[in-house]
Amino acid sequence: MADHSLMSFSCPECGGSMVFNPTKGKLQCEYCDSLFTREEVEKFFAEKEQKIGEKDESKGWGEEEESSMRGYNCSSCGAELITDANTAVMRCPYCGNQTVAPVQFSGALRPDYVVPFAFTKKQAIEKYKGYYSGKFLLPKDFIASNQVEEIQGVYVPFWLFNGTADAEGEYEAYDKHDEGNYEITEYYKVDRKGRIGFTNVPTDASVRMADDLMDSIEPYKFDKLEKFTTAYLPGFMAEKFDVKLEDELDRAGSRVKESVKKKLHNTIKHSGFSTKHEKIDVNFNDTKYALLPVWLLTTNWNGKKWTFAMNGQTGKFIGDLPVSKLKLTLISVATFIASFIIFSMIWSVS
Amino acid sequence: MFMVLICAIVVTVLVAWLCYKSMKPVSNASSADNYVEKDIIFSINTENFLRKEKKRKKDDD
Ligand SMILES: [Zn+2]
Repeated sequence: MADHSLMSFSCPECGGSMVFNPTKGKLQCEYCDSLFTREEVEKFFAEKEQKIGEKDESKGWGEEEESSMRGYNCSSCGAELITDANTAVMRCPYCGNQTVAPVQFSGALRPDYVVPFAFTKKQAIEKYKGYYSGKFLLPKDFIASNQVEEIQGVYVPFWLFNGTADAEGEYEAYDKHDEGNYEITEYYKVDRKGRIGFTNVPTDASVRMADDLMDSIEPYKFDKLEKFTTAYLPGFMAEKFDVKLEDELDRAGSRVKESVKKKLHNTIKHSGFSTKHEKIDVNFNDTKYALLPVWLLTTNWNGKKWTFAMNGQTGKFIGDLPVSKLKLTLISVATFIASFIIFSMIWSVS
Repeated sequence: MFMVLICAIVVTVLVAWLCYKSMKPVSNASSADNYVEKDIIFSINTENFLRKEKKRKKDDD
């Protein structure tokens, strides 16, 4: 477990270094195997450092937190990463280059919530292998050049939107049936007005992270949302958000609108309808800044970047794979010949 | 013969396209269906009959 060799928390029992064990959801000592919840470890360190008073509830980082954190910048893609003091970041999870360098940790916004990792690196590697195995169209040398071991656990910054949507619609619906030699169409005026509530609609707050890739590993189950503490960081890294909340309102809003539209249309139990008027107002009244767990692998192959992502909570794995032109041509030629023969036979019979 | 060729080409293009798409599963989420907190509550939910149209069916050719 080379990736877990450097950790910031020392074990309250023996002083050995501790790693976050995703299967047990606890921090585990690498030497004496003692398990501690984050609360226990935090309490231990709080007492040790004679922390006075309650933790600062404001959006800023605590002083101890800041001193236990490190920043890293990628000179290739500009990604700003943070992790705890002893987790070494060698490779940028976003562009795959070994161009990350430590920088002074600077606060930025402290996340409100975090969804913890539920899969280990080993499990993520297995998922990836299962993902590409049996894919005939995959170029052979792609897998060979792929450094599966470089898969990294990243907390990707997300905005989570809560709110309501007020919708109204007027539709003209119709039903058709036959009566002897006549076709009868009956028309109805359908009116709908209603309100619907949404909670935790996620949009990623990272410029470098492809929106469609993050959308594709959804959904996350937000009942597992935990208050953020730095105890979740050892062994993983987090990206600082660089997409402002305001810039994601439209994206979250259009997703909500699409859902509401579907809901409205599903209530029209006729064979068809046309929309006369439709209005959907989305109001977001609460937002959260959360870190969501993603196992990320970025490889450069044939001059192109290929990124694969796994939902660190549910294990859903996704990523576009390259297609071998030769193999696709072979399949096409074979299909053409086969279908030509079959159609010829059908033609000659009829 | 010409029809056979057209059909074979259509099938080939379709198969090649499906094979290609199976390698590219990444797409944008268009809805927020997974994040509905409370289902829609209607304040207006009505249907009114408007009219009936009668049309003679076209004779079969
Ligand atoms: Zn980078």
